[in-house]
Amino acid sequence: MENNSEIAIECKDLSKTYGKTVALDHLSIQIKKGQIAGYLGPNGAGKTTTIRLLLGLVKPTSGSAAIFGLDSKIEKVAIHENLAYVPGESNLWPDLTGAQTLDLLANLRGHSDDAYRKELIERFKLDTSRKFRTYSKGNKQKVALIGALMARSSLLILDEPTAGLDPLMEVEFRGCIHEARENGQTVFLSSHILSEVEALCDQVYILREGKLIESGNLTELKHLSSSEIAIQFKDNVPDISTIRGVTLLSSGHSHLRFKFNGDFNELLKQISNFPVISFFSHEPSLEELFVSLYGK
Amino acid sequence: MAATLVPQISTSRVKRTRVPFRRATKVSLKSSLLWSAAFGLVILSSSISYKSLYPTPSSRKMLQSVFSSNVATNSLFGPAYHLDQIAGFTVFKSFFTLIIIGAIWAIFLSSKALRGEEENLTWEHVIAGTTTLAWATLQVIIGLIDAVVSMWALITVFVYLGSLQSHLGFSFLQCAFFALAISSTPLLFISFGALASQLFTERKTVNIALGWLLGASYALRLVGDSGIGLHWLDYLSPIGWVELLHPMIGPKPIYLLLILVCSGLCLALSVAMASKRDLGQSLLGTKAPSRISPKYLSSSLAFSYKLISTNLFSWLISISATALILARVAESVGSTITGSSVKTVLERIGAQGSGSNLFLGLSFVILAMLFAFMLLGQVLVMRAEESTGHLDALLSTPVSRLRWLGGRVMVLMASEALVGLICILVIWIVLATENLGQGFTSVLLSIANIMPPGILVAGCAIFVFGWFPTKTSVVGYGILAWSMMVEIIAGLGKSSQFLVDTSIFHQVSPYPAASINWKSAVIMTGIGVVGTLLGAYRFNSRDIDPT
Repeated sequence: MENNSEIAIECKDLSKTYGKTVALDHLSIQIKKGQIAGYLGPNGAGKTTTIRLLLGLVKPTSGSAAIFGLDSKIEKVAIHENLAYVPGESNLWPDLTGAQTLDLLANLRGHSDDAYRKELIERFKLDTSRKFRTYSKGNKQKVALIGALMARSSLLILDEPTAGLDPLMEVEFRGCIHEARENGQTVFLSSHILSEVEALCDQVYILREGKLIESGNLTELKHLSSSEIAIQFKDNVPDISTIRGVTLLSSGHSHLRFKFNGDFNELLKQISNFPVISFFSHEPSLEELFVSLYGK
Repeated sequence: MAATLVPQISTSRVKRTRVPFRRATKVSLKSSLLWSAAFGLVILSSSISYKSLYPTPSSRKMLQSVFSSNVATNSLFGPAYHLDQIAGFTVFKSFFTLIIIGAIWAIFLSSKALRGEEENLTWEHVIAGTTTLAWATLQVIIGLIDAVVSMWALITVFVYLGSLQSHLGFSFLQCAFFALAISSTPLLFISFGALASQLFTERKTVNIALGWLLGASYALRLVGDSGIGLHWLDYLSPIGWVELLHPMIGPKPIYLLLILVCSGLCLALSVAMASKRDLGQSLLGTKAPSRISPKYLSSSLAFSYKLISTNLFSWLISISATALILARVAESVGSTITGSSVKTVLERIGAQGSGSNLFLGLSFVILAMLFAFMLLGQVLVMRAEESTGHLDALLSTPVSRLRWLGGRVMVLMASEALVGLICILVIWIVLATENLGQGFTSVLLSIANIMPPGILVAGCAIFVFGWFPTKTSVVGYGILAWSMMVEIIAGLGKSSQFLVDTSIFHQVSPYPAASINWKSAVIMTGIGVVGTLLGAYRFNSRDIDPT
């Protein structure tokens, strides 16, 4: 059992229904302090609902959510002292300029690293003198991101944070998240940009129709999906059809191509008597894993 | 071979989409119908009440003699003609109010349909279809003109049928021209709105510019009608042109030409400008962001004030100006009440004293309505904060829901107190200069007396905001619309006491013409306070609903 003081986010049997629609179905997760947790799922899977429950913006139908041991339903304000949030759609005050918005957010949170704010504005190349309503989607997102990152809060809750950012700014964002990890901050990153999650996250949670269907670190998750293996033999090919987890894709006089999701030792033992010219193994990407999970 | 699902590229003439027209018509017709009915009711109410309030030729003659030479009322409400006839009195009592309301309606409608749709990016989809910005603008303009034409037709039919029913003796042509004169202000301000929407990038700026235009237009004709030999100023004012139409008795349709030419020019210019500019841009560009004092960004309470400050300032000006006007004309209007059956009617509801006292009592009830609208507007800003998602951003910082709501309620109460205080000073100074015998305490009590309906409406709206947030606007405006409708119906003649009692404004005693009904005041304030507390209790635990 985990020491409670090491847990940043904990959901126990957390559910939320809207009328007959089940938005979140008995979610139980634990995220340790200092981790970067990826929260994956297609549109409507329940990612934003989970975040709104964690923030205490909506109340659970059943179960509980806690941040740093504090109940999200009851101790909202104490929780908000220690977190910064970037919503999926940055709807901030249209008549404030970028700088005024950042000032307001800093004042409301009560803490902000001004030097870091300045650095972030430069890194994200944001013109803060313009009114929020005149910003493009990407620039609006930058305001929300800088507003959250400059607080240097213990927990960052980010809902689709890179929506609208160009690839260069995405790289900058990743740099900021790595820095946050180095500073010991915890990051809860909801996204469906799999390359982003793959590049940043220690732990991944995958949601489908409000239910958690997989969780673990990337290595563990990749093992859930098959690797694609291609072997070129010098002479004949061995019979591998009896090995558990083999799905043959193609075979010839001296080559085999197959999907494999079994015990590698058993496979290697089976082919060890057959001289090999080349051996290629392709691990599934998170995208392939995602597709295989949702394709079910 | 499988048939392709992709249509062939056509190089022939493409049929343009009519979506902008249909959308503009749909939005504007609904409000046009409602306002037409309300305008019709006000006109009929004025006519019917004249018959009962001034039943004898002598009382009508007295009315005519008092107002025809009254510079103050002539400047404020336009020259009084033929007040010894129902038609003349109807125009005098209702025309100015209706054209000003019509202008305000047109300002909001045109700025929403043209600049608002562009600002909220709806037009991105429309212009990406088979149309251009100029065509879409033209279609919206036609849709809005449709609404004005419907307004004209509806008011005509409504007033004519009402006239037949109540034996008012208006001819169809009289009704049609009166309705045309009323509808010509919306036509003018729709055309100004179309033009301003091409000039400014933000809808808010369009509304402010048109507000100034309306104010200047009113002020010009006010000076023109003040009897100091500047009558020609009426020709420089769009409101003056409408006034010159002189509906009902001695109509002067020639001035319609001025209105039509000006509207036509503005509308043509709007379409031409739309064809020259890019979507989302305007001819005058975006104005530089204004500096906001850091103190307004220092806390959620200070920011709450900042968010409503422009709105509050507008209300402050409107209510103070209304208070000034009513206080200024109290003596002259009061003298017409003395000796007329208006006094008898008011005495039946406990109002007593001189004519000016009776008029002041009624005037304070009018101010009560404005206060109620102002407070409801502030509650609706709270709901707007939630529906736009701004509240999500605010409440994910260490700001508790109760602190936020409490701050809003504090700002609401402070703004009521501030506007109330300004009104007290304005009215007291005017009444003191007119020697109407109302001391500071009397004016203070009068203003205190009119606060409870606003508190009740705001409290009910906060209750609904807490429990059923998406219904806040409907319920809030519903209470006000119902109460005002009941007041109008009650003005038409005998009505059921139960029905009349359902109006919150009927619960306000016309102090200083009657003693203050403290019981009603306490009950209304109590309902407001309880509504606020229950709303706050629920808001603290409910889901935030950004829809």
